[in-house]
Amino acid sequence: MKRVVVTGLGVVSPVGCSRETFWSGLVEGRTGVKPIAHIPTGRLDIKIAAYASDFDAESFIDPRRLSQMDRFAQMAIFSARSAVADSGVDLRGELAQTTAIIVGTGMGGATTLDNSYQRLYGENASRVHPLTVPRLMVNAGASHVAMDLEVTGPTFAVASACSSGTHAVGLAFQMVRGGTVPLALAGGAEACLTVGGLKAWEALRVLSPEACRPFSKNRSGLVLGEGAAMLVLEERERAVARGAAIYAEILGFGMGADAGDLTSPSVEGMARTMRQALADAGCNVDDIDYINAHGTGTLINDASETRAIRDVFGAHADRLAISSNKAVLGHGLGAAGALEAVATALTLQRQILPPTAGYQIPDPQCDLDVVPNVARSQTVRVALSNSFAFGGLNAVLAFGRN
Amino acid sequence: MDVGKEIKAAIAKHLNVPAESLTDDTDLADAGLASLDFVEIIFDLEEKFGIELPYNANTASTADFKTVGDVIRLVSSLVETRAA
Repeated sequence: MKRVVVTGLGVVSPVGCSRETFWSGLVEGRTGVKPIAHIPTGRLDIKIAAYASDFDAESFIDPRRLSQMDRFAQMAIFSARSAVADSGVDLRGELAQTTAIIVGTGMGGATTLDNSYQRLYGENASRVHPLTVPRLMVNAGASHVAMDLEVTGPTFAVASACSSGTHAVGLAFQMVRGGTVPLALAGGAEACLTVGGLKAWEALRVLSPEACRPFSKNRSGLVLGEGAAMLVLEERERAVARGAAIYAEILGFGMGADAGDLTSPSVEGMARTMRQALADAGCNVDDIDYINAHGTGTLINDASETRAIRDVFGAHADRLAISSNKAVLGHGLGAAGALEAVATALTLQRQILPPTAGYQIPDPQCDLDVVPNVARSQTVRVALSNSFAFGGLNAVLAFGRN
Repeated sequence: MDVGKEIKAAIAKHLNVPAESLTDDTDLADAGLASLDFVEIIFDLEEKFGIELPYNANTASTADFKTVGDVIRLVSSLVETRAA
């Protein structure tokens, strides 16, 4: 078994598209949630989202290739290039054949699908864009990253709704740990802030009209976001030999299904997955100092996640800290787990806990230390990153300090 | 159109029980209505009556939808407002 470390990070986020703007947004609790302005809002009941307004695909993608890609794939490329540059790894030569690329997404090319339906049903057009199919396919993000980086190794997409990014990183971790590949690029990308996408979420009655306030008693639902994040995972020996800067080590991964309700989370399922991650990492509960929570800001997730953490950690639950990034980032769905994996890697590197922003009123049902509103310097030896998806698909990563 | 009867029929369909078994006092959660059933029922009623029901699964408005009678009262008032 190889040890696996994180040596590169790349993001597209509602608070910026560089590692440092992303991190400062999280640490300062500078929310990326804002009034929707990129699409017509006349038919929307919920008029806020965390749109990645700084993302400018035209500035870095060859215009001849731009029309081949949905926004989610453009974001995947940008974050993958950023992560590779950040790691300093050279993907030419042998690594071009052996590097794995795994990109999670919930919806795939949602913007493409929305635009084509708008043409067909809204404008009665008789044809849609000729590349509609290859733009909207769920694997388009993974395929475009491979083409962009000229990597021919194992490449595929992972779709598990809000856990997609975490599953992608977890699978890449297993491939590097098991020696299948020496290096992997893994993460997630999502861009479904379309009129159709927002109406679909509105219909579920889980969106907040106001703000995302994880673990706060007055929380009123989740706020949709978008973005992408990719991480370079590498055999530790290899990274050390080339003198790479190491953000964190990945120690373990747990995953499973609730096999229960379609949308309501299961405390048991959450707890079981955290225990799997701990066991896989060879950690005891008191090794964990911090949990990057799923923390969506819905009534049921945050209360259930709190109960699950209490079940797993017992008395130690009152000694660890947890926080949610979603007040700042919104819920990036298929990208969320990847963005939060980046946040967790940075938390370990810098030994600073990003706060739960937007927090206002303590809730007895969410009675853990949620690091309300203000970042904190603190020793973090091992951290978990939780993702719990619609469809009952759970994924938890364990990260260790390098 | 008998709003009460229509609502009971919609709820009974989701619970897979006879509509006659529901009274105004029937507690929706006790009757086995899960959150997704509820969201679907609201959609059915909005479509049927051409109204919009203010329901967010995360806020206290859930308390306004505790019993069958609560739903009937709210829908009836919205239907009347629309007719006025």
